[in-house]
Amino acid sequence: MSDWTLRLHDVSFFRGQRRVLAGASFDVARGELVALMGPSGAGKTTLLRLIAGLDTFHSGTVQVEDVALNGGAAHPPAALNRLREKVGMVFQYPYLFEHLPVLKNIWLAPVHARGMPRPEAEGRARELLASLGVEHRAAALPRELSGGEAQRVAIARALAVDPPLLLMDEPTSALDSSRRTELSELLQGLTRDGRTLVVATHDEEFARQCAARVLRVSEGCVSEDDQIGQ
Amino acid sequence: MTILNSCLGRVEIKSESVAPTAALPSKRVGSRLKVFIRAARLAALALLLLPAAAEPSEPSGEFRWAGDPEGGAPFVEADPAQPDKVAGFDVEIAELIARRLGRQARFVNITFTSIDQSIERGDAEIGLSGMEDTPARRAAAAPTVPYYRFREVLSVRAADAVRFRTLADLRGRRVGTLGGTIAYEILLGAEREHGIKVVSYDDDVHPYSDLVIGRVDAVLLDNVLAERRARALPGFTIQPQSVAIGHYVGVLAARNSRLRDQIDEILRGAMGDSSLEKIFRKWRVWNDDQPELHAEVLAGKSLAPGSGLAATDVAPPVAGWQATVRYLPSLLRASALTLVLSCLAMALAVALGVLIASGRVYGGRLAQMLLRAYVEVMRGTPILLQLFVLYYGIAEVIRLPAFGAALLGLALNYAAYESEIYRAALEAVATGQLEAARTLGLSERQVLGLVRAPQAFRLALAPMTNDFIALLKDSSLVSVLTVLELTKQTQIFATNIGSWVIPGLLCAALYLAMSLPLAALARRLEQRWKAPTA
Repeated sequence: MSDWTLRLHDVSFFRGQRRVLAGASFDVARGELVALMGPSGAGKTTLLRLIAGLDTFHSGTVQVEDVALNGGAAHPPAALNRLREKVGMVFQYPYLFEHLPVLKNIWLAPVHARGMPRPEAEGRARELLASLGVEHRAAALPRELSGGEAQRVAIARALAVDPPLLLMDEPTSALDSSRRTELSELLQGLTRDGRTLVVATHDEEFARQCAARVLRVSEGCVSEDDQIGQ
Repeated sequence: MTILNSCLGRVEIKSESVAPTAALPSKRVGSRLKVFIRAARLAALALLLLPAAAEPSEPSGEFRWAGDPEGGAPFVEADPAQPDKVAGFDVEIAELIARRLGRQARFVNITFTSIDQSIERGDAEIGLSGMEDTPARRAAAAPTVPYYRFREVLSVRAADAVRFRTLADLRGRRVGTLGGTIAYEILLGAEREHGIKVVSYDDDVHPYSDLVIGRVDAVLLDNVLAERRARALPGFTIQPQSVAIGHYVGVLAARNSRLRDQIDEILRGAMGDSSLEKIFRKWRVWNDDQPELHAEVLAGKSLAPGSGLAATDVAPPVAGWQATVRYLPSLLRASALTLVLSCLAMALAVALGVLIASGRVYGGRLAQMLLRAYVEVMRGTPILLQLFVLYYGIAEVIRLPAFGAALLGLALNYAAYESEIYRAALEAVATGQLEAARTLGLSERQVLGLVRAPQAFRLALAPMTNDFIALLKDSSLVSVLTVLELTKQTQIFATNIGSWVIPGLLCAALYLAMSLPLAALARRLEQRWKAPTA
């Protein structure tokens, strides 16, 4: 088995006539937490969306473990299905399912997408909520949550399907500094379990707190930044 | 007796129109307007409660008479040679009266079922359109002496001529007639006595066409109508034995008794000098009954409203509360039918609407195109037309029962509107919600069923409720397919007692009793499942 979880090779992406990514290439090792940084509009969110299979790209390859997506064509449904067993994503806006209470938001996918028995999925959902400090909100509807609570529920929902690679887009945008530190510790804990994380963020301090490595996205290119010691 | 319409072509009359049914291309549109008029009448109940209009001040040279040209020949119809004029024996009688009054006849176009009320309002001085002499009219208005004697006759398919000779032979069989007429009352009596099933029509054409294709087993209408249809439509025979005898009269407002007396003298004069005979002969309706009637009128004999009628068939006028007690059970039955029909039609419309909306959002280009065409056709054509096509138009190929055609017609029409609501609601669910569901590994089908549709449903709930209440009221349109729903039953009630006040109030109360709980339920559901505010 290779020592990387995610590999991008020469990925290019255009939005209309505008080139957003120009031959982006990088690897992310298993259990590594990488921060993607760069100015607004640099292409950080686009990169995450390409890795999650939400958008097609024009050339290059995205590979997550043994699943490869190639540019220049629509992704085959079978490849997308396999990819989504391996990649979870937490969006900048949590997009919790508005019609469902918190607990069901979390066990919905394990039961329906992974075939997990409901009691088991519900138990796991409660564990995740407890580990994120929001177990008391299990019966609440998403509209009743604060921004920070919603963000943590969204992380719990993504972790519930146990993806080896977790993508997070601006996870600190709704958090104050103490919550940011808590989140940083939480993410580091996830890497200790062998999970790989790619986190797009503006937040230099947060990146310094939790990331082992920083990738800078600028003018369509991705470049290695200095190593950040823990 | 009247014929609400037999014309397939356009009828345009250049004359004053109170109920605008003349300048219409077809019966369907005419009937729709009748429904609008009924609705307007209900909305104007407060006005109807006001004292009757004062004595109309007619221009001295004008004699305003009311009729319904949708009745067709030989009563009042658009003149085939000059479609902007009316022709018929009632037209000629009106002109004769006007001439002898020294005035100019002016035709006022009024829907048949509204003629009594319009005369009472003062829209015209006399109604002449095959108006039956009934106890209710004698009590509420000032009818003239009878000028024509008709016989209620039973028509059956030629093959049934031997076995269905009388109403008693028709136990368990469907017998059609015009609603709100003496014939209808006779059939209601036969329903109690002989167990027949009464089918009420809005016109005199479809009872006979339905008889020929087997939807009804007999038709009871007067001999003038029956003989006229028999000349145009083969396949049925008229039984020689009369079920009852009745008379046509002119109807004036009770306060106009002086004019009525003048007109009575004119009619007697026209009987004496054979002017009426000439008119009836011209229109091929002169028969052996008429000399007898004319002799009786000229001899001053008091004529009963009809003979051969059981006392219960055409009941004498009663007080409003008594009439209400009498009609309440049938109004409640009609309400139940309205509610059942509306609920079933809405359930089917929702199911079809969901399928159409899903096809339009998720389907291929061809499916999207076909479904869009369906929606545009159903939204772009009148529901009344669709009901007619379903029930009468395709009867040669598929003979749908009346209730089935009504249910299907309402459901197919409302499905188009529902599908647009659901499509818009599906498209209003945030893309981020769908992408979040996809990244969790849910299939597209699961995304739709578990995430998108439930959220769309909350958005669609309020317009759906509106549609359901609208459908409840639109169900009144199916009376044209002989389904006796609440509005139709109310119309019959109003026609028979000669007033819309009590029937209108009762009808409005029953509709509100059905729609208000629905609205309350919808509000509770909306509250429970309300979409989050941003």
